[in-house]
Amino acid sequence: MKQRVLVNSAILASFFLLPWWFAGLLAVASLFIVKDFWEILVWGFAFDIFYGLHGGAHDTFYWGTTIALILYAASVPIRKRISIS
Amino acid sequence: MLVFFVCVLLVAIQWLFPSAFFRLLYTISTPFSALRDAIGGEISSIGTFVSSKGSLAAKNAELEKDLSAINVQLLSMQALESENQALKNMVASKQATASPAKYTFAAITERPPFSPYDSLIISSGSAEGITIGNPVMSDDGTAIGTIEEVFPSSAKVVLFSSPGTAVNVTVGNKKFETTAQGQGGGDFTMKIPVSDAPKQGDAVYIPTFAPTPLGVVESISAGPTDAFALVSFSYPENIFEMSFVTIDTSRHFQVTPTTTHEATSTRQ
Repeated sequence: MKQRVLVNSAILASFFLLPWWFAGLLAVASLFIVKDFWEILVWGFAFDIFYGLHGGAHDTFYWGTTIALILYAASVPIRKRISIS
Repeated sequence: MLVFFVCVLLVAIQWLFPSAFFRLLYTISTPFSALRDAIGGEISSIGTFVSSKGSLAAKNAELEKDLSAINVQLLSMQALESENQALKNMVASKQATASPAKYTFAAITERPPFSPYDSLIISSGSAEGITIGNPVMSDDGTAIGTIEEVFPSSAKVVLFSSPGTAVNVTVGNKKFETTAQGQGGGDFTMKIPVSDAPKQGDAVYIPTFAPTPLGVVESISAGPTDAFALVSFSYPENIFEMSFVTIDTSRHFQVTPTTTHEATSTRQ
């Protein structure tokens, strides 16, 4: 639980303080640090809402949410293969 | 099961309250943005005292900024000289019909490289009269983008240099009309017939915002057998260092994605 809070705090800080891709890399790494890191979906969605362009001439696709969903789904079998607790 | 529940909850809230999540995130981001600016300023000021190399680099950056601002002013002056008479006539006719311009200033809270898509988040919104499509200018007067999304106290700006954006421009003294494609990072490219290719240093204008140039031609590349030259240019000001923008709330400038290769403007 402590690890989960620390990881999410680090992502929160990097999301608003550092370039967007840094928070992305940290979230992906967290999939292999924290067990069942479902929060990556929330961060992906937050990326789309905060940085995405919706409603005007440019309508960006929800890439953050989509990639987070794919990575989360892929992380389950990968974690089992590489034996991370 | 938990993942499914999280997805449904997020989508439902976004659908019911479209701006709620953005407003929440913007509120959270405000102290972080202030902290980032403070830390950035402190680190750079310490560096100039400690390291002579650092101070030279800072001075160099400052001088480059000054030079780019002077270049913009010079280009504006040249354009003004050549078009003075035509503009006098235009101004006289426009004054009779057009509504007076209204400007709003805003601080930039998120800018590249912190934000993707070559977009900005600014600290003024619909409460200040900002609407979708208002043109956004940098502090040297260059039109850099348009308002894409508006919230009560914030707004999103998409820069003309955003990948997937095209704007109609005129290039050089020949006033060759073409479409500039945004490449990200404040850069543009356009294809021009070799016979009409501009020179390095020629100004590129969006006709609506002339005589202030959109950018200055930096490189022209064409092979000996090529019919078209690939011309690259970028904003006169570094978009990574901008802190404030001006929004013209009396005008609307519509930019279309590159798929249609069109950009139009209207005055309201």
